[in-house]
Amino acid sequence: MPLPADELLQGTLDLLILRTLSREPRHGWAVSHRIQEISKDALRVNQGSLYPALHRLEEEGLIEAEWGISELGRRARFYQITAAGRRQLVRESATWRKFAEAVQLVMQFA
Amino acid sequence: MRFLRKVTHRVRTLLRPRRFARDLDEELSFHLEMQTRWHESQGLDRATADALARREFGGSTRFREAVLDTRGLTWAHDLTRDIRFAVRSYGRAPAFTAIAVLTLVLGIGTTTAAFSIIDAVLIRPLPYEKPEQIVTLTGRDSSGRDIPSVSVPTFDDWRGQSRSFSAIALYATARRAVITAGEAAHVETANVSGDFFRVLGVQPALGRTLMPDDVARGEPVVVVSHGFWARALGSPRTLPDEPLRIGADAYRIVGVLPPGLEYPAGVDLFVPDAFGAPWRTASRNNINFKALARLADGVTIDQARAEMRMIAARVHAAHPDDLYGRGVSVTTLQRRMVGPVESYLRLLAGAVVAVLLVACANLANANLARGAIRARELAIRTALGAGRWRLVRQLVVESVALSLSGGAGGVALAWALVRLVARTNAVGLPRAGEISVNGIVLAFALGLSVAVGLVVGLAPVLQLGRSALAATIAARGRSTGTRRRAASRDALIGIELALAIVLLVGAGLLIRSFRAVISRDIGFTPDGAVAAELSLPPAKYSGRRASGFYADLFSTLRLIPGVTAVGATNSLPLGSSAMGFIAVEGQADVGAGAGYRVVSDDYFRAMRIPLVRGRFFGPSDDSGTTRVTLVNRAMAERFWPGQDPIGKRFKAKSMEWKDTPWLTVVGVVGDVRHWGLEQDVPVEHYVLYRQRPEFALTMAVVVRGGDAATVMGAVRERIRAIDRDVPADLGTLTARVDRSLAERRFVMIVLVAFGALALALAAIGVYGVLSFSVAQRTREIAVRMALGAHRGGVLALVVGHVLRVSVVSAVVGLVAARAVSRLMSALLVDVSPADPRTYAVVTAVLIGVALIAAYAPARRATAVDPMLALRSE
Repeated sequence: MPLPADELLQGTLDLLILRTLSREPRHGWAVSHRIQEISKDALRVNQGSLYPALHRLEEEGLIEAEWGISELGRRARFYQITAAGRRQLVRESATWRKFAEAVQLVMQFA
Repeated sequence: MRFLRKVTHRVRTLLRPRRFARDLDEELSFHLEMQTRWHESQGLDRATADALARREFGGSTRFREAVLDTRGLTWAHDLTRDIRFAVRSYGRAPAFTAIAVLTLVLGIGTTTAAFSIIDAVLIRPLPYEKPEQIVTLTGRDSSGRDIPSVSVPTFDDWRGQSRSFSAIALYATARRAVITAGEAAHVETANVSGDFFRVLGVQPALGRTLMPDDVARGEPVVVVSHGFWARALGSPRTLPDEPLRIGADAYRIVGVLPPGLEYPAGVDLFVPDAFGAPWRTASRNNINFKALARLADGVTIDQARAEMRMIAARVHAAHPDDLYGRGVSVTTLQRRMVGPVESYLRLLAGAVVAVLLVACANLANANLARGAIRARELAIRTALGAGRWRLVRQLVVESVALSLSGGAGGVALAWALVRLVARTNAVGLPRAGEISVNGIVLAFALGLSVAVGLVVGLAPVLQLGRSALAATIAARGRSTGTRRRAASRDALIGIELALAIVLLVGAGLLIRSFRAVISRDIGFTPDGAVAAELSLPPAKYSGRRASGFYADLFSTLRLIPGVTAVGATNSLPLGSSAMGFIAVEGQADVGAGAGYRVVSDDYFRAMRIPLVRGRFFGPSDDSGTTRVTLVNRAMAERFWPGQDPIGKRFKAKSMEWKDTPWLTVVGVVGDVRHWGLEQDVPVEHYVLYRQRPEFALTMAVVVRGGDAATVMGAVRERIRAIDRDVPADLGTLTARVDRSLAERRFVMIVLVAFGALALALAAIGVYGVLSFSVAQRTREIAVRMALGAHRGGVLALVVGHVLRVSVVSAVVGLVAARAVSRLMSALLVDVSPADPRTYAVVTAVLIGVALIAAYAPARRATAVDPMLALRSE
């Protein structure tokens, strides 16, 4: 049963998007597809969460958007991580790791 | 940085909402297509893939809204819808809207105008470098009173001993004859010491200002004001080569001051002056000079005060007979300039705030009534799922939209008012030239409009909070006239009426004062006389030559048809006057003072100042004969009570340089209120110009009789015929008296206008509330009438309501007015702040107006047809 990504903890979707964009610019569909693919279908990003999140991150200056030509030969909006976005990614990844380890510990020993 | 980026981003989006929505749709449809292709690539046929993608995609509108929301677009969209709705709903009630907007225009307009005046005059720093450092130094007399001037020797002591100032300067102003393009005219001129412009810290617009070198060199140079440069010289781009003729001397123009500088008020020309002999050695009681200083960096005004106090004590110890240098006041220049008008401006601010409050109360009431009428609409909208916040926003948006349109009109009104005030400047406001509707004023008007809109708009919102929606719908909007709401509407009306009372009492007291002032005996007859103020160039008219000029002029002026008397004085009533110290023969009063005026033989006949005893001056009094004088009645009573003053002698100490001859009293004349109708009669004496030619260079010639316009033309012509270089300022004495009352008249008119405005607004408020309450109670009234109530009873119901409200607010208003009137006691003349007549008349007017406003609604109530009302159920 795939887990809808919008039921994840607050901020996690942002983290996933930033991570996905950290290698190369992608359009919205590619972002969601990539998350689904890498998580081996465990995480599925609902469009209803994806696009508001993308636009919010863009407003916050963590990612930038630009219209480009997609593999289908039609106009698509490509998102690209900014320097501020990279810094945010580093910070949030560390926090996430700590949190995950903590949860892990509790699950193991509590 | 990030914040800034976010803001620009959002603004860009908000400015192009359609394009943004289109892009978003394209982005989403691209996603859909990609998803379909992907499903196809997994082996599904096209139709199945498409259907699957669509299903996965879900309702696109939901998250489309979500994206728009993150971009602030829903908000903007709702706002435009609210505004459109507001415009429509106001359009449906044009009368309500017109009255509301007009109320706002008046309230916001007057407040904005008052703000721009107060900002320019009181708040804004003077247009000088570090203006807070500039101070005036003034002496104090034996009773500790501030004397706005100083003598040269005392100033020299101050300058020599003080360490608190980086620069200190002396100046004296005088009207002098200036000849430009062959025309002689009076121009206000200041003689200034070397550091004058260093104290002010002024950068010239052209050329240079005056330096200490100019004083040392003693060359005739002059710096002109920007106004003079434009008016008299025609704004040349470079300094003119030809010199400026001041009196008989030619001065080289070396600089032009920047625009907007107005100190000393009205001065157009500045010439250097060393203030050497004879001033330096003259009596310390010769105080025709003013001192300015700039605090040294790091010195506070309190430190300067402490130092100057010590210096003044030393100076006084060294010169115990110095009457004016007994203390010193250090005051910032701004304080000194605006101090005299501050009380007026405070009164203005108070009146304006009161009018604004009345306007707000009116609008809040109108909104309450509208809110009650719309309660059903709002209740239904709530039932249909409109969020509470959404409704509140709707109401506030409506109200702010209204107040903003009122504010726009208000700015236009303020602009007109400000122009009027700055142009006429009846009160003699300092810095009037700086008053304008500028950015700060516009920001104030905007802020005020929004604030008014919020306050007024929130009134029905508070009610919305209380209303039980279901009940409102069930009762079809009629149960809204609950007692609590009616009470809050009455309270607002009460506040309006009370504020109107306060303003009207103020206005009434000022009207009574004005009438008291103009009914006072000024001591001469202004009607039917004209005056020509003229000044003779000193170089040309030394010694007896001035007397010759006047003798010549008088004899030709007497020939003008209708003229009955011609006289002259060195200072007309209601202008400046010279005070002096006298020593009466056989009396040992050291500090005895009396004003003196230099006049011609016929002056008293020309002014119609009555002779009480003895005789006027005559041809037998001349430079060689006994020095004679006339005293006014006040002086006779002050120094010779119960005695005949004729033949008594005294010495006028400050009038003379060296020897002080005895003056013999030959007559007593009536008292003249020389300092103004509001002032007490000064103790004064008159001397003959032939016996004091050095005072006769600047004289005002008074011509009694004939038609004013013809006489003025003839006087100008005769003066020119004798000497083209003598300038004359002509006017009627009536105009002069009027001018002296302009300030009081202006303040009175302003307060009366505001009082009337408040009363009119309150009347509209009473009318509105009663109309509403009658409309709401139509059914109740109909039932009462069906049950046998008389029309008289119904009338009593409505009228009783008004009387109750207005009597209660009259009591509150009168108590408040009594408290406020104490603050304006300085403006009152011959009337007590508690004047019972004023309070009674105002109360009667107020209750009368309230009843008139109630008349139409009351008639409507009595005209209710019981059957109609019952049938409508």
